[in-house]
Amino acid sequence: MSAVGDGGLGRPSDDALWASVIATLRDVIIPTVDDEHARLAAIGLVGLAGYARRRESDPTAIRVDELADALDALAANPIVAPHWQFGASRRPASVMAACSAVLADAVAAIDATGAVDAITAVDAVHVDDALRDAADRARDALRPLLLAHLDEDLAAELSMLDAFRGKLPDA
Amino acid sequence: MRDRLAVALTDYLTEQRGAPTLVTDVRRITVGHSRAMYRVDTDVGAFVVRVEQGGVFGTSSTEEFAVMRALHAAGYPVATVRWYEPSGDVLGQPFFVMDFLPAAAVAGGGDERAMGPDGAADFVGTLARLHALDWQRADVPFAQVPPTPNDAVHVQIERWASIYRAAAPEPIPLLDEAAAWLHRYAPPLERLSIVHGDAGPGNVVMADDRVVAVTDWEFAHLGDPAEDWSYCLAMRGVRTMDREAWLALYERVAGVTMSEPRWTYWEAFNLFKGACANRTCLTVFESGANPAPNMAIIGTTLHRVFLRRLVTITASAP
Repeated sequence: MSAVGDGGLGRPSDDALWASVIATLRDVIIPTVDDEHARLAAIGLVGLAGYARRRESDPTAIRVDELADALDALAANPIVAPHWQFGASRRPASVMAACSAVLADAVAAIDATGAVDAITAVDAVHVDDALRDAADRARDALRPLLLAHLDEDLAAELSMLDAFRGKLPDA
Repeated sequence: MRDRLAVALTDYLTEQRGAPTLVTDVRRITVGHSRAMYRVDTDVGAFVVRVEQGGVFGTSSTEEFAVMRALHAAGYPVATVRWYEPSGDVLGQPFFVMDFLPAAAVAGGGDERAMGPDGAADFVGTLARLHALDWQRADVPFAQVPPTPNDAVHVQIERWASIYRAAAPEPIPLLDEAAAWLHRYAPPLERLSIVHGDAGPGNVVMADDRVVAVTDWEFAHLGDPAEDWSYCLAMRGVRTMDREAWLALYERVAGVTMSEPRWTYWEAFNLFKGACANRTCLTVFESGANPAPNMAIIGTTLHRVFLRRLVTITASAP
């Protein structure tokens, strides 16, 4: 919770404000709403308010730094080098674009092993072992970070799923 | 809100019909997120008004309206579409009007995805008829016609990637990795079919275990029928009956069988499509074009739920 929203000097805290929104919707408004669309919208609002109340500060800068550190460590990797130079700009759009390009190129390199695909039934393009290893290293470095970020977001947001499905989230 | 809608639609319907038309009631239909749906009762009968929501899912009513009209003319069970208003001048967003189809009482305690065995069999047969329909002879006007059948899935991958990229300010690496994976493993296709794109329970109007109409055509396109079969199996139909029951029904009614890698591929494709489409809702929410809570939830949580399932599949070959 940010210091700005912690009340003081006669101001209610963000936490208290969101708690009021949730309690009023849950206990006062929703029980009186007969219209199904309006009721579902109000339950959705409870989910949103709960998320706003609980969520941590924006993790973007920390995450982008983690990814940029990983890219810096891989800067000489032949899969990474076309898309990232050591010490490159850490603007979120640049870092995410580099990660996208690296992972996409890694798919081609890792999977094109010369075997016959079970699904396409065509000979895949041969890729030399060194490039395949480079793709493995790039993917092994970036994917776990991105999955961890995804899982953190999901953990913070999952309570909204109940609301989306029309169930009042737990208080 | 309802009064404003009633007044605007009274004027609009009077003009379109060329005769006085009085709107007596307007009620929001709860199902669906891509469009706001209203049942509109008038002194000459009931209509459904389907209103865009500021770019949700990146789909267009123009194509949806034209596809529905052509399919109806070809004898496929689709509601009769009446008028299309593309400017947004009447309701603030483009919309079209179609005939209201009274559904029989929904079984399963009001669950829109409930469907008995006979109803499910009729649905599967109806979907198979869509896939077999000669879209060129029926003159169904799709915006994108792939140069060859084998291009179809690549066209769709790029379509959805473009929709997500237009909506998101920064690239989403795991989604771009998935796009590369889908291109890499795209299965061959011999013949282009009409694909509904959102097929399954909840997007059909049923009466007496028969399909009266297939609804929600905004995702329709040319491609591989496997996309629809997988979508129903892994997404829309999950709550209706189990996977084995669907597979047995597909084979018995439509002669559809696929290898497990192909089922896996198409599940990944549909998760990719869903993750891309859902991301548009966050943009619509943040722009204020549609500040409804469901937009925020679809654009964040649902987008990530789809993405999480997707990246589990794309971690290895199908």
